[in-house]
Amino acid sequence: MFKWLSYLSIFSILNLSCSKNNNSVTRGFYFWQSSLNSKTLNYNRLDSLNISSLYVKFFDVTWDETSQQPIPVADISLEQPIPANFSVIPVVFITNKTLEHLDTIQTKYLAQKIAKRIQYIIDTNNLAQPTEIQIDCDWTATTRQNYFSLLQTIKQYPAFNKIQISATIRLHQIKYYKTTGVPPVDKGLLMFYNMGNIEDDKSVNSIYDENIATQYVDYIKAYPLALDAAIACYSWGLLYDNHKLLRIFYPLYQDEISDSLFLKVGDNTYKANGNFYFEGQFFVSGNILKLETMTPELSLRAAEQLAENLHNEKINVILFHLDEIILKKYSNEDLEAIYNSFE
Amino acid sequence: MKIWKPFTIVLSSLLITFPLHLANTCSWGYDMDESILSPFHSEILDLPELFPFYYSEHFYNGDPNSDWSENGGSMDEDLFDGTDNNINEWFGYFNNAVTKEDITAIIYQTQVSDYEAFANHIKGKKNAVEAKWLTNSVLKFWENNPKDPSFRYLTLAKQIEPLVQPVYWWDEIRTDTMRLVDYKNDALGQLKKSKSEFITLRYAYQAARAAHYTGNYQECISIFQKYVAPVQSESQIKYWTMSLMAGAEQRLKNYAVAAYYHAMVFNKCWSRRLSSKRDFYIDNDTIWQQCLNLCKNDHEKNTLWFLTGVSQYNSAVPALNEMLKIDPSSKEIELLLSREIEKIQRNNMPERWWSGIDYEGDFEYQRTSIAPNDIAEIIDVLEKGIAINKMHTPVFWYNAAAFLYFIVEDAEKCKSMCALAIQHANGDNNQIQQAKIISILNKVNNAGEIKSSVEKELIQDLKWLAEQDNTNEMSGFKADAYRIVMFQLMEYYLNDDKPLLAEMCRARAVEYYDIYLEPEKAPIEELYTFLTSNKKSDFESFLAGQYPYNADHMLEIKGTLLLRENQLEEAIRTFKKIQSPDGILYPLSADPFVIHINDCHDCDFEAYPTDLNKLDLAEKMLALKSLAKSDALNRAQIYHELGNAYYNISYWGNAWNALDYYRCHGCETYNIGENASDYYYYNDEYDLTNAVFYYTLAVQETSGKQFAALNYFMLAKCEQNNFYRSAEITDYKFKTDDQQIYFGILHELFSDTEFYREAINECKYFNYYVSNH
Repeated sequence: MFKWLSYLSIFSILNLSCSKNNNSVTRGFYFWQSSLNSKTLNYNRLDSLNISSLYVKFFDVTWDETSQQPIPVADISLEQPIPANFSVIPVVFITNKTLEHLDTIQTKYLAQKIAKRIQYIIDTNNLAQPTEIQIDCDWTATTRQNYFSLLQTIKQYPAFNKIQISATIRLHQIKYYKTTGVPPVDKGLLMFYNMGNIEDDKSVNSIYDENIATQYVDYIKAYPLALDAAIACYSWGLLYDNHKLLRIFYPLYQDEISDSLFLKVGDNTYKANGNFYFEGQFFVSGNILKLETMTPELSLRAAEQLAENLHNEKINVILFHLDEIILKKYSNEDLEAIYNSFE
Repeated sequence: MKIWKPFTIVLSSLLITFPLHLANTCSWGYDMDESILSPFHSEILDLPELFPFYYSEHFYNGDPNSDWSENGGSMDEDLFDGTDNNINEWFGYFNNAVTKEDITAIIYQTQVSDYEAFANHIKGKKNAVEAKWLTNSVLKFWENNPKDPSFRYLTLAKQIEPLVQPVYWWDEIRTDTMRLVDYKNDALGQLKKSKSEFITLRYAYQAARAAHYTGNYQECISIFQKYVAPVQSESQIKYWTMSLMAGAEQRLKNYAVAAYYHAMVFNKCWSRRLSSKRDFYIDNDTIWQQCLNLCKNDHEKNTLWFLTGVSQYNSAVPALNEMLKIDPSSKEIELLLSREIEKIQRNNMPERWWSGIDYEGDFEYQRTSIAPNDIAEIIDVLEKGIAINKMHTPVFWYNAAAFLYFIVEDAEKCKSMCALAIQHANGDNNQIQQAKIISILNKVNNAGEIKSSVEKELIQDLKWLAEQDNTNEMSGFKADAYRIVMFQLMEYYLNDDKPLLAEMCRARAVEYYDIYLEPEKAPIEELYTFLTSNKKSDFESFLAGQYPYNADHMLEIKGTLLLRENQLEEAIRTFKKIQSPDGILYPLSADPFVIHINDCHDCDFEAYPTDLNKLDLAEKMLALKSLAKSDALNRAQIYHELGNAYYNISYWGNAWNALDYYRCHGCETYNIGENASDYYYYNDEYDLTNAVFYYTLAVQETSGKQFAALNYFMLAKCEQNNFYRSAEITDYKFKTDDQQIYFGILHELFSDTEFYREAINECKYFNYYVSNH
């Protein structure tokens, strides 16, 4: 009898650990580059994976020191139409520095300009009116008032009053939400990446580190805003000179690091073997390039770790980011597994 | 901003890498241009045409966040604006028959509608133009020469202008392609008819411009090749067209060709120098090699290497070595060198030491490390250049080498390079001063310890460094060197167990030395003795002369500290020793003998100004104490006044500056029991013991109920203030009854007094207490 009870317990534990969240998951991808050429993207494959949402960065807003005003840069260029069966969610990235410079009135004025520009891009590219608009900003306690005012003003834009406004939320904003505040939006999008110290050339992977993530996940449940999930699937290169981070190459993949230019000196570090141009940067002999990569396994682990702490009935799961290389590196099974973690 | 044209940004937006300062946007700014002590003037070279490319946090690196306009006060922005050149070219075209002012008005202060009016005017139509145009010499020229092609050209240019202008960032971009195509065709038709190279070139520019903005990049290139490339003149219009062509090549993904032509525009055309630097982009080494292969001569290669080396994000050593082989006499190599030396300076020189607080604290400057190889590599470049001996500005190379040898502490080589710099200065006073600065730094750094012989040798050098002359370009660099030298001397004196001399030096090493921040920590007695000693050596006298305070200041501080200790007689004796009290003993901020139910410092400053200074105050308080012994009739009033004085010279009163020099606003609830030593103003005078003592005596001595009530109320205020400072305060909570003894007494015993009613009306705390008891 005792033996059967033991088996039963083990079975129950296994069963529990394999249980799903039974959430309704809407699958999506971020598109973060400024030129979207549909010819290079396999929409059929996205379709077959039931991916229905494309979160497309429309433009960035940065602070222009010269003219002392916020300016839009890197407008999206949609070279081919996006098939109508995909929902395009406009995303706008605003630098925190921009908000540091604005007063309340200027912030509201900026919000109107952002809203108008989003609508202009929608109109000129014949896109359907979106169901959601997302604003991305790594705001701080100092800029929260401006940022929240900006979000509220965007929400009040006449053409957007029936559209959900979402805001990206970083892990530190989850943990310290009493200081940084909770944005006045319909929902948040938790960026479950970029959690390590990018400046440290000795850190293994600043994009996702399970141990660092563990320090934050307990706070997710207490966050007073419904959260969607974003999981990293990208790879980038970090250039260091004398241990000082000089530049980020985003995206950068292992295949692009030529043996003739670089000498592998560590698991993910490469030393410039001479002076040469690479990715628009003149490398000097001895420069260190660190490649931080999300593998399908790592993305899945991140998804599982986050899913354990997110229990929304309806959730958008968005992978960052979409390009033809990611689609090659992640098989359908890999992508299914990541999305399934939340279901 | 005259130069910056947003439309040329388009190309750079294609780039997929981004610099760190875009990524790290969440931190507060820290301007390295101003934060490091800089004894080396890295912008000492006379290179106005390369000025924006000196190393700076505000370096113009082609992205919208850079602010090159802050790169330095002496940059001449007009150098990079093509307006003057264009006007001069037109002035030549009109063969001096018109004025430059009128050309400026006709070209830069008109719209399409003005040209329509001009056309009617030229045809003879009356009142066609505004009166202001009637005297314009260019318009008169056209009246007299109606067939001159310049009018037709400028009309077309004016029509094209609004269609190709940079739009405001947030404007929606809607190019009128059809009209631009028409204008392009018109320009091409006219240029074929034109007999003037001047006009032909400009029609070609307009045609290329229209082709570019309608996306006809191949046609843009063809127009340049066919009509502009063969032109021998060095008109800037040629390079403006070349710039458009380079952009078109980039759009067609001919990256090597595009980069090559951007570099050529950079080289030849200052009015497109900034935009072409920004648009010069090499993605990979294959493109780089192709680009180098396009060069027709070494000068062109030199330009390509310069544009590579001027990148903000990496060492320029490879570029410097290549440029040394190609043309060691170029100005560009010197600019690149200045950039690398500035980087080294920023990594090796101290940050400005802002704090003047810690007398016992950490004297170490913050330094960031840099691999020694980087300095060695630049020294190697400098030595090779000096050996080749074809430098454009030899003195700069010697000074640069001297500075780097100072940093790596090779004193002998530093000394010899300083000597060579002076030898090759050719009367350049800035460079001579630079060599002298480095020489002094080297001398002090190499001294190892401070001896009287060193002191004697240094005294003239230090006097020279300490000279302030804002008209001298090197003044700031001398001042920074002075701070570094004083810091070094301070360390020597500390090692030699001469803290007083170290303090003299520290006062000049830090940015804001302020003895008044923590006067009780300053070695006042020792400083006074030193400053008044007539046995000082010449060097000590120099240091004393440089010290921002004199013996009178020390006496004033000493007297103030005695006042804090309530040692009135001793304070009076000390204050009286001050030889020149003007500017030392200043009036208190308000009359300390007046008191109110509610404290209002600002109100008292205005309503009760006083001529009393600290000495007068001490004397008056002493006199009152004496009077209290003999004047029994007025004793209560005298005690009350003394209570007021002690209350008002505390942190809480209207004359707080009797005992302190700074007052911390909002520190009243700071819990002195915790982290007190961390707090800047913890030495504020909060103690009310003496006030309580005299108010209590006043209560005991008086027989008047009204007067007693007033003094009890003052005791209640002291009680309240002490509570603020107690360990029990949290979040402004209200006191318990046993913490409000005097409110209780007032309420129980004095409710029938006028003062009681007055206090209820004026004091919300008391009102609250009464309402709840």
